[in-house]
Amino acid sequence: MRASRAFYGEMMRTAALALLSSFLLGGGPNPGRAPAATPGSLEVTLWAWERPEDLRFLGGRPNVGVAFLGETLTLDGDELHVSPRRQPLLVAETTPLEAVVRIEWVRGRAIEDTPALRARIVDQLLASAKLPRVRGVQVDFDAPASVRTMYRQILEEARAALPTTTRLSMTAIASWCTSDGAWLESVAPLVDEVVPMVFSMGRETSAVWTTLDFLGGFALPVCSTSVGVAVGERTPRFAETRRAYVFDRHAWTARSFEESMRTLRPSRDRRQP
Amino acid sequence: MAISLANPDMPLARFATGKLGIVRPTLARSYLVVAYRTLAGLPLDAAEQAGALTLWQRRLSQVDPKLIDPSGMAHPPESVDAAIGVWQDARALVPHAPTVRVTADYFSMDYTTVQNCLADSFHAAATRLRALVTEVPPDSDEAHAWLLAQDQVFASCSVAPHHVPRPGETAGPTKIIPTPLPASLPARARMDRDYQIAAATFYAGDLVEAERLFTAIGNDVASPYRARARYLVARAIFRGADSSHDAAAAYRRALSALDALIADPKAAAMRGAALRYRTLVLTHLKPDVRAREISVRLATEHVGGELEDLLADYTVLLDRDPAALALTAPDTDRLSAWIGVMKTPASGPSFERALAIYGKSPSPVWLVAALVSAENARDPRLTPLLDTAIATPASSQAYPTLALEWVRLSRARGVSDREVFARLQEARAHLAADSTVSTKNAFTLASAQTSPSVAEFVTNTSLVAAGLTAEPGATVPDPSLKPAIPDEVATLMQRLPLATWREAALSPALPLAARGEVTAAAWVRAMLLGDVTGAQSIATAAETANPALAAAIVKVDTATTADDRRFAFLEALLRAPRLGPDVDAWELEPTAAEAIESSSAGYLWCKVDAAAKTPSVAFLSSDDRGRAARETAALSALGAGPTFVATEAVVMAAKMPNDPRVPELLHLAVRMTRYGCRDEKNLEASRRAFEVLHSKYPTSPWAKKTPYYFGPS
Repeated sequence: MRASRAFYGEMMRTAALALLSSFLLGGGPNPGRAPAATPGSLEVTLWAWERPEDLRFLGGRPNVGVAFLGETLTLDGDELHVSPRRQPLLVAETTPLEAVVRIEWVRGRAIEDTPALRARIVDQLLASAKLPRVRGVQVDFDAPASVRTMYRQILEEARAALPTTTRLSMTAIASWCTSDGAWLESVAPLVDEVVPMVFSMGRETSAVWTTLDFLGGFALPVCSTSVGVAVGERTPRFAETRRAYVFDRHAWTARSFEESMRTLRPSRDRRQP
Repeated sequence: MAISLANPDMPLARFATGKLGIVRPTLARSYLVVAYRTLAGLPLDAAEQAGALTLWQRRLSQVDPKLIDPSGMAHPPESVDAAIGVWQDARALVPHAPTVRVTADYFSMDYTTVQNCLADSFHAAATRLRALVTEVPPDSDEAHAWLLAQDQVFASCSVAPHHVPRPGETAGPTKIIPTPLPASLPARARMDRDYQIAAATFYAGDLVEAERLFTAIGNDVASPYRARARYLVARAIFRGADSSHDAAAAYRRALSALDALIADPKAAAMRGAALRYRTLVLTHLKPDVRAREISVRLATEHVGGELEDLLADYTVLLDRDPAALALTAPDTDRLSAWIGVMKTPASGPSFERALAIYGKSPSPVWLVAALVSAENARDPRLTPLLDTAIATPASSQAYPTLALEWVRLSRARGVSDREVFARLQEARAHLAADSTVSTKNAFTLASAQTSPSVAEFVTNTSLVAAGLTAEPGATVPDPSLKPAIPDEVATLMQRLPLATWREAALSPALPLAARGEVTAAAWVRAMLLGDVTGAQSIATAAETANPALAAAIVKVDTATTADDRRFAFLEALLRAPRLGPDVDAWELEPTAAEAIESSSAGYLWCKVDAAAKTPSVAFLSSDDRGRAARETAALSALGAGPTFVATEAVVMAAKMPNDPRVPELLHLAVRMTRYGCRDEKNLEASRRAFEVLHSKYPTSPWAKKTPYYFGPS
């Protein structure tokens, strides 16, 4: 996704034609299948949030990685509070790792966009990228509209400072993919991946699913390569090349992993414009 | 949201002082503890209020502390960074001391960051250093040697047991233990050094050796570190429990060491710390016993400054299964039983438990629990409880909760809505003037539901939300919020007959904040149901409340033929795509024209589900309900909004094929089938509009702008 703007524009044009035949979403779990690995060529990454997680059972499984919450940064005016991970994460040596940096802000106080604050945030992203065996960093920031410019600058500065081999990912509120396309398009060239979170969408749930059911996916190409889902919530079907991030409100177990894999189902092209 | 669910309304300081508002089962448990204490007649004293507010500030770290506690009663704990600052200031007393970076935590192999050195260790070191530079010259070898050793102690803070590099470091720090001093040096210097060696060993994670070294210091009657070392023996044992083969045995040994220390009058200086640490060990060793012990203390005595820690421990210990406590907590642990009951509302077994305790000890706190947990409203045992509830004076903190529970259960028992509404208004009139927004809103919503007439209903159709939801589930007030129609009222209105919609739309009692939505929806509803006269009677009110729609409404209103009217209505829907037969909850702006370009805008309407069970207002007669049901079925038959406009556009193209506006109308209709709500006929309607546009108007620019038609997969 780290394409030039010209290339990205080309992607947008071709995507308009490819859109309706590219993927198909909808439907529920397919309990008849018992996948030992991930469905099709789907890459799966389990989100490991701030709770003790023992994911050693993933060792040796192809196409399964872990994105763990490494730290939470809280913006407080022009200050930054850093809350590192306090709960243990156990993973097999072979499991690919991404460090997630969650950015929050103190409700009731304005976020002050200063170069010093951005620099501190970028430092934290760089530090996360250097954690042992971490291959990429994911920024999880439900940025309100008032700080989107700041967020873009953070991504720009982080991208410039991170090694080219380090993958930079960002999560996206699902409604950004349906109604904030221009902003997402402006940040897409800076990141390797945008992960729309198709769960816990609150008031947007119905509207987002209307889009997914209707169009077979998000119209924006930047929202089409990866998706975030949650155990116990409605799960879309995926195109063959998609990466799925899976969230569980409870600590993962081998059993909950297997059950969640059954809900991820590769799609088949069947709709024509 | 209209009502804050997980937390009481901000500021929480008001709740801490006993102004509870409505005690909802959805409140987090730390708030329920405070509610229990208040309702049971043991409200928090000043020290306890400060403790509760400190805990809430700590837990709601993403909420401005001033929103929680504007008066500054809370006492946020000193950060370890501040303690390190105190230590660095003390280091500056030694001239020419090298600059060192001190980090209190280490990064572990399991991706956690572990706080190894606590704030008090930096204070203790700073205190000793300030004394030392009065005993020896600050620039002396003795002072420098002590400082070097202490720097080595604190360097161990960032030494992980497995020496994993910290983020951004290429290699982890290594363990450096200060060297022992020769016997020829003064005893005090040697005792300082022995303590530093033990401390460095402790922080470096060699806990067995640290226990041995601290034990030796603890046995040295001459050492000024004797009491502290005995305390650290317990901490070394406790820290080592995780890696020991018998954690419980380790906890017991730690407990035994602490008990001996607590009982020793010569170790009085460490007694407070030892008592606090004992609770931590007990929490691990006997969580059930500890939970009960805390619960009984919280429920029956003022615990002063301990409240923050006790409340924190208690809620963590309750994490295992709070609902089960309704049945499993013994009668001696009524706080846990009460929380268990409150966390299982409308549950038969919980009601039986609450009723049994209320029978033994009638009090507002158990009356609240009994009513909240009541599942079968017709249970005759509820009668005296409801009588007591409605007779509870307004000065009671249980008053708003009991009043609304009385409403809920009385309606279910068949008490007439007129009587319920009258009692509700009486209770509402006696609410404290400074009641929370959530409390007032709960009464507004209950009033809307039980209103005996349209006039009374419309006065309860709008309110200011209690706040916006922030992580982690906290509701925080927002000054930008203005009165609007809440979800609950929007749902109630779905099942009003058109005549009532009209009456509501034209009622002078309809609040300004609701007029735009109600009048526009009533007008659309009338048009969709074919009641042109009804629509005309609402048109002026809809125009006034939605100025941007006035021209479109006038066009419909003044159309001279049925086809012209139908065409103008279709145009209005496509130009102002947020129109629909129902109100949009929380909409602040009047309906206006806009382009069709967002999938998340909720354009027009989704297919009305005539079979859905939707709560209804009280004042409808059975005839009204029948009429409303027929109208709902008629609206449902029209399908989703996009299907309706696409179908209508095709009809209008057939009726008025030469009208130059038709191609654009068809284009917009197809576009709407892409972005609006879908139903089973959406694809077919979209395809037909697309085909008519391309077959009848192939050279139209609107045909070129319409390359696809759309439908569900």
